[in-house]
Amino acid sequence: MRIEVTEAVWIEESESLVAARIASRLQEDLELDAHAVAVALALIERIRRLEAELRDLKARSPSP
Amino acid sequence: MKYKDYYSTLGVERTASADDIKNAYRKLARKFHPDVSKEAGAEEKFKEVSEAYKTLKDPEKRKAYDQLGSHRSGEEFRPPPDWGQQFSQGGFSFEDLDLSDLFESLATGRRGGARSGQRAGLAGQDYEVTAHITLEDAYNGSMLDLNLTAPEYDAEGRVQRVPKSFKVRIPKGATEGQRLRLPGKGGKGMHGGRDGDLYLNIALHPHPLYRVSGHDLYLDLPLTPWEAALGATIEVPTLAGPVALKIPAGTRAGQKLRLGDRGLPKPHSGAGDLFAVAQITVPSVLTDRERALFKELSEASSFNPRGHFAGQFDGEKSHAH
Repeated sequence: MRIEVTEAVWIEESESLVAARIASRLQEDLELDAHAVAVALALIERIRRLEAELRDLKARSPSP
Repeated sequence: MKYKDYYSTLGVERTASADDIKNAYRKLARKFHPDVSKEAGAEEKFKEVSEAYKTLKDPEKRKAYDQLGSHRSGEEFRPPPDWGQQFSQGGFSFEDLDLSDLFESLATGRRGGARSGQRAGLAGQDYEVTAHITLEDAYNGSMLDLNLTAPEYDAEGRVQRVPKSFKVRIPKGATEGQRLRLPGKGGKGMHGGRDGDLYLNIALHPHPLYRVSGHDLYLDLPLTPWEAALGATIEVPTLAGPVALKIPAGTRAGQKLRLGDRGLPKPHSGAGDLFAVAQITVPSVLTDRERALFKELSEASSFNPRGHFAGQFDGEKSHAH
C-alpha cells in the first residue's frame, strides 16, 4: 500500500489562544467555574515560565 | 470487545451514588489532568478516568453499562443479545469496537445522529500525539511514520476503530515543545463538516553532546589547563560537521564561546547559536615528566586564584577577638 506523505505545518498561535484552549479544557474536564479557571491559568502560566527558566539554566550549566 | 471496569477506574463501588462518582472523578481529574500533572502516564490515566466518568455520570448510559454485566477488566465479552435494541434502536456491530466507542455511539443515537435524518455538518475530531525525534532530525528535517488507531463514524453514525498510517515530513527547525499541525488528518467530518486536524507535539531525545534551549545549543568543551592559559585552536563538533574554534588565552571555566548560527534552524529563517562552555580538566594520572613540569610551574608562578578570600579571613579573625 502506498502511503502519501503529509507535510506538517508550523502553528503560530498567540498566547491568548493557547490560554483560551487550556481554559476550555479545564472548564470542561474539571468542571471549574470561571474564577477557579482564572486561578488555574495563572498558576499554569507561572509553572510553564519557571520550567522554561529551569530548562534554560540546565542547558547553560556545564555537566558535573 | 474488551471489558473495562469503569467503577474500579474511578475507585468506587458499583452501588456508588452520583455524588460519590462525581467526587471520585474530580479527585482523580485534579491528579491526572494533562494541563496540571507531570506524573508519568498522566495523560493516559486521565483519558481512562474521563471515559469512565462520561459513562457513569449519565444515568441512562450508566444503566446501559450496568446491564453489560460485571466482568474482569480486559476480559473479552459480548453484550446481551437484546442490549442493542434496548438502548440504541438497534444496529450495532460489536466487532473491532471499543467500549468507549459503544457509549459514544449511544450518545450519537440519542442526539439524533445520522439515523434520525440530521444532516448538519459536523467537524471531525482533532487528534494530538507526541512525536519523539532526534536532534539531528530537528536540524535536517525528517520523515516520520505515524501509526494510529482512531474512532471514526460510518454513514450510519456507528463508530469503528480505524487504523491510520501517515508518513509525515517534519520541517527543519522543530524544537522541544513546538507544535505542528497536519491539516485534515484528524477524525473524518460528517455530513460535509470539515475533517479534523492532527497535532504533533515535538519532544527531542536527549543528545550525548548537546543540551537544547529553544533553538540554541550548549556543548561542554573540555580544555587542558595549558590550552585555557595559552589559547589554542581546536576542533569542535557541530550538527553541520566539525569547525575550528579559536580559544582565547586566559579562558576561564564556565566561559561561553559563541558559534553564531550553529544551533538549530528557526522555522522561517535564521538559526540559533551554539555555545561551547569551557571546562578545564586535568589529567587524572600524571607522568613523571608532567609532575615535574607542574611542580616547576607552581614554584615559578605567583598566581593566586583565591586572593579575594584573604580579607574574609582577616575579618573573621578580628570579629573573633
